Amino acid sequence: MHRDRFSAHGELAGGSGDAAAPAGTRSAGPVAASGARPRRRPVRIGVGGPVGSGKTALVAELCRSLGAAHELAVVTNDIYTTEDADFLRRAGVLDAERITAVQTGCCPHTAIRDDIAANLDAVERLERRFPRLELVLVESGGDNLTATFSYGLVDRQVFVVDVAGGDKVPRKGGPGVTRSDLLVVNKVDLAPLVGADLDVMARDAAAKRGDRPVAFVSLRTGEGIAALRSWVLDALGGARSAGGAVHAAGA
Amino acid sequence: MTATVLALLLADSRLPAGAHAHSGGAEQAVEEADVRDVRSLAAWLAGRLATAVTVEAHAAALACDVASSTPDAVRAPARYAALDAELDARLPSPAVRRASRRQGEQYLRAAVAVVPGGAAGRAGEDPACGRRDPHLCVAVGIAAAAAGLAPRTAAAIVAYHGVSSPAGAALRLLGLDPLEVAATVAALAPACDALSERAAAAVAEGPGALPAHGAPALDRLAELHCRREDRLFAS
Repeated sequence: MHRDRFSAHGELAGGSGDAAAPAGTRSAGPVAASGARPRRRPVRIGVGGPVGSGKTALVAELCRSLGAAHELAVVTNDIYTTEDADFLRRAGVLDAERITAVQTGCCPHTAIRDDIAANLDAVERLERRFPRLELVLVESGGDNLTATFSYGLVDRQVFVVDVAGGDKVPRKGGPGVTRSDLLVVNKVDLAPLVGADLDVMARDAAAKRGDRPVAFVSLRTGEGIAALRSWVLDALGGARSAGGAVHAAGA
Repeated sequence: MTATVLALLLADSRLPAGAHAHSGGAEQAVEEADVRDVRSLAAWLAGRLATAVTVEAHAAALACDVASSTPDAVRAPARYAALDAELDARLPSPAVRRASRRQGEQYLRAAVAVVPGGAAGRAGEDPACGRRDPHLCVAVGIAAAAAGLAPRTAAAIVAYHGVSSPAGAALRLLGLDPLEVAATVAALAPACDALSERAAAAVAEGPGALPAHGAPALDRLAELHCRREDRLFAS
């Protein structure tokens, strides 16, 4: 019964108010004291999750469905350098020059959490190159359940797990499942084939996450994609209206 | 914080300045089996210290001296530019120059956050050294000056980075014993200290007197590495 709330009408479970918290409230970058003219910077959304859960396909879907109306760019953090970036370029969902790959030196979680220097670099280069950019998607390298993004790098983070990874994953928790701004349970079309109980996943996720939203998605059938898209648009709008993403030029 | 602790912070690989993703040629050296165990790593690191790192440590001492002795905004840019040109002339590999500048940009950003004001500058200001992406050793020298440290300490940080960072990369790539790797770096400490002394003593001679130890093997590794599709490290 829980699950009905999640995907039947393309709506997300949990308080959407959480998702609409102003960007920058947790990632407030420095505002220059020197009187440099402030400018808005694009909203940054991190997409993380275990290997094979469908992060790149999800990023490609967002590029496909939002790329026409919004200025997007993508930073990928592959284990093996350019695999995901190449996939996105081949998929033709975004101009190749809007996709940047970052090397992570065997430690994908370090690059998105403890030492975000290379990712900040990549994001800021894209922002300089495309001054009208509205959204930067930062895709992490496939990692484990403990990998999360630093809010110094992203304004929001999506954690992607898939039903084929076992319906116990939400119960196991970890910071991605528990604290991400949106939990995506991907490949729901496979649930009957792998014996995954989506109601159990929904109940466990709600127990771990409280009001934070969960989306049940199948990129293959299209289930849940509208909800995912509207969450992203919410994040964009929330950041704009809140003025929380005002940063110093050149900072 | 005392200056000693700031020095430790600036030398710490956990300082979020991007070093974890750079191997300083070690990844390619592992690929070519130049580095395959702790013993070959030790020899390779000694070679690195005697060549590329020697040049960088001298440049760090000079940058620290420029940053602490040239507070006026009129003369400083010219002194930084002279040092930058001398360094570029000693780094024939474009891949090495790119990796150095990329890390310098990231280190300078960390320095601005950790020791703001003074030599490091502030967020949103143009960097005092005249460019956003100085070479890494120059950025370390600037950060050291901002922390009130001496040129010798700046050189020591660069010397330590120059061996510990590739050693860490080799550890990850080969699954070496971390205690043995730490001992390997420790064994190079006297050479690092002696290098720092020499670098500090040479500051008065100016950037034109920077040592010019070429390292064609490292240049070759860097050029091959940056063309690889399957690399894990940025350099």
